[in-house]
Amino acid sequence: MTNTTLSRRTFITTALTAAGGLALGVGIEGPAEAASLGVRPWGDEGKRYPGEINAWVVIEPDDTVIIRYGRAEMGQGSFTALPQILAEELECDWAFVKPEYASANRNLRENKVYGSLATGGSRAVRETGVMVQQAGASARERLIAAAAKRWSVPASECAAAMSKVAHKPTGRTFRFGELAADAAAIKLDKEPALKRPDQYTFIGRRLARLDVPLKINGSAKYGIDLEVPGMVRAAIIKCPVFGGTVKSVDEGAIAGRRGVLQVVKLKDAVAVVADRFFRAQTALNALPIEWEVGAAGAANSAQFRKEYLDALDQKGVEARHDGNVDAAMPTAAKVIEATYEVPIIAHAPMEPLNAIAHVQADRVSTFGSALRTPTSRWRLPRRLRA
Amino acid sequence: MITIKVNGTSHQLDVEDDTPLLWVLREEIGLTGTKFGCGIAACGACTVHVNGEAMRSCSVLAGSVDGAEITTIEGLSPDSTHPVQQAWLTEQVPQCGYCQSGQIMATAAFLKTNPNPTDADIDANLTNICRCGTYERLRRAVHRAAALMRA
Repeated sequence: MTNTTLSRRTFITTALTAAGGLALGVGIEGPAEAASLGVRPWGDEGKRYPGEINAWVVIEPDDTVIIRYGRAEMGQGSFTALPQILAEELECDWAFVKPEYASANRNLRENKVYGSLATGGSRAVRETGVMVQQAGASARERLIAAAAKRWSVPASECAAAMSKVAHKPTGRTFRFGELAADAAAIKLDKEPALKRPDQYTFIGRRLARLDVPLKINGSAKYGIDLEVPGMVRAAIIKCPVFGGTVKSVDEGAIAGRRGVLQVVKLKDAVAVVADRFFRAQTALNALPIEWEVGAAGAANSAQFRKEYLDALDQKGVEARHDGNVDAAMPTAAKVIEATYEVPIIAHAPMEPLNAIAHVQADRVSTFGSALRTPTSRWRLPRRLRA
Repeated sequence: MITIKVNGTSHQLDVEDDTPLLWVLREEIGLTGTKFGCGIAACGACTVHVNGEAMRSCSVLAGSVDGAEITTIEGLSPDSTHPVQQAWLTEQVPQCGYCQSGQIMATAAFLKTNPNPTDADIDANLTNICRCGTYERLRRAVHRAAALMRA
């Protein structure tokens, strides 16, 4: 279960769980091996499962139910909630369910089969709940059809429950795992109707979150935990002033430091590349850099504050107009006045921002801790070409 | 060259004396359960046990732990059955989870010195930061773990 028991190669190919966090891979093309982790990272696009009934559901011969998850789990719980919704219709045994991250590449290739792959605004269940519920219902009906075909009985005489299809008149059963490959080949005349909320038996139950076991023993993998073959590390500093540029860098000052491989000068940032992160960071700290701060060089908090306050005195855009505040205020029973000010602060997750570019002969695979895979996916390649 | 024992296994490592233990664990030994958060011993995400004592490994220098025995989250128990881990599971503490290795390691060491803490003891001694704000469940889990360890 812990990565100490995994071989290095296995570790590399399976490290992208993101079970716990924000790690979302972008542009991964290579096949990955099955992992021994309870929650498997996606990355299996090179592999076609015989038991893949649709893009959301794979049932393996041992009855394991892989349910794809098309959002980032950050502790909000949709890594559990969406599979729960799907399982309501699939009629599978919850103990067999293993969620896995949906593939961003497949989403692109197959016309957004997983939806937007963007996480935020409490939208995961609202936007994809019905989609996965339908996927579960569809998979169930195909499993039933596969069983009916084998028994040569009408599908209406069969029912699914707890990962089995039963032929009601005779009591015969098949496990889902025995039917999945057949079910994958079955075409339904029409998609089954979804259960009505009053028919739910599983949605609404309070379940233990599926990502928690990985987050109490160090096995959940975040973007920062990934390692690719031959990886080196960079520490980067941007011009402290927005819009500023690099004026000069005294590379000689860090020449000969252990592990340091290269100083990379960008228009507005400097990076030091080394074999280890701490060597890169300490070398960067020791690197004399002069910045051309540019037009915003004199900007400061006092000035921002004044500009904002001045803006309050100007007429704004009227978004809504209810009642008559000017008339009501003098006669109000009680008037409460307060001034609220907040500083400009950066959004600061505990996992420091990080990203990996794995440059190979025929492709560049990128990995990052991101909420919006589609956006990242399109922006990154353009930047890499530049 | 330093020699440290991590989760029962000895490692001889050629690292600079001023390398933080955190990076020795993560990059030299490959144990990534211990997290890099702030790098200045403020957040606690990197907490491990050094000779049984909870320390923030981002600010412990490799040169100072030569010969030490270190336990990381991966070595706290072989199968997530340490009472603190069990309590964390029962109370469903983690959200994003990034800080939780450190929270668990800090709690495991704390309960050895204070087996029956009050809420005030917990607040005063367990100062690791959780940006998701799991503090209520954390506190319940600390009490639950303490009860399990006393039983």
